[in-house]
Amino acid sequence: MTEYDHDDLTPDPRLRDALRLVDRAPTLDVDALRVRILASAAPRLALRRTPELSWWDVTSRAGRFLVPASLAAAALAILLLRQAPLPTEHLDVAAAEITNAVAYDFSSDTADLQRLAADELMPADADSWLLGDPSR
Amino acid sequence: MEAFDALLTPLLPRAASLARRLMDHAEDAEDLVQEACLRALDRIDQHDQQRAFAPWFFRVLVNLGLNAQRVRKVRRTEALTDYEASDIATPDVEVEQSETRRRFSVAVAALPPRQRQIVMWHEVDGWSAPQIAEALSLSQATVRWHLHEARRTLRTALQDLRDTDDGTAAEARTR
Repeated sequence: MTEYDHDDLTPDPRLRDALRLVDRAPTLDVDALRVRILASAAPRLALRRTPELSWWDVTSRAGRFLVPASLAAAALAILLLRQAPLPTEHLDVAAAEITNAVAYDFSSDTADLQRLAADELMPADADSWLLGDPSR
Repeated sequence: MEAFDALLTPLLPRAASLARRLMDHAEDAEDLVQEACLRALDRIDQHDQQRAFAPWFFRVLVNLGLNAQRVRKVRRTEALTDYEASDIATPDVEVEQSETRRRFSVAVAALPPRQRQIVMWHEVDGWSAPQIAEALSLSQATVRWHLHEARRTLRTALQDLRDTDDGTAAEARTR
């Protein structure tokens, strides 16, 4: 504990009176000062009530809402796209179905048609003519 | 305007008390209070609504005052305090004052500026140590130390002057 902690700072009338005698600080007219301050503050207060918005103010104010909204929309879109099945799976299924169908067609109808066409063109005994009789 | 008036008018007497100690001249002190009010108005958004307005406003005022003091010190060519300069510049007043009063005035002027301001705020204007600490952004311990030092110096000066006066009076009686 230092010495000044013991100083209780109680008012000292003798010291106060002596200081008042030598006090040369100027006295201020507070009422006149108040009027002067209010007069000088009036234009600023009026300006604060009707702020003139520049293009930058408008942009920055709109940006406060638009930027978070855009970010939220982008995040939502990413989430939805991740949860949905990929479109290539549909394509693969469809392609497989088409391939199967074509293969089926070739394996049945087309082959039959080709066989029929061959039968039409060549008589039943043509085998021997075409291939020749090995005995001939 | 009404809100501004209601907010600042109760603070003006204390603001004037601060300013007159900081600036020593009436016009400078009035300019300082006005500037502080306008600065507070311009920067009201920086004030934390959870905290009291008065200490914040007084800090604005004190900071502006200290800046103005620095500018004034640079401009001054003489290293005299205002009290000393005033003593020399107004010989009529000096004549009117008693020798004791003049010498006590010199003792007050010899105090470091911050100690002088703090002791005047406390003893003459009636500010408490916590109020001074808040306005000057100092700890209460620092303010109490400045007060203690200033009071000790001034009490010693007063005692010395009283002893001298008593000696002079006794000497005059013996003649």
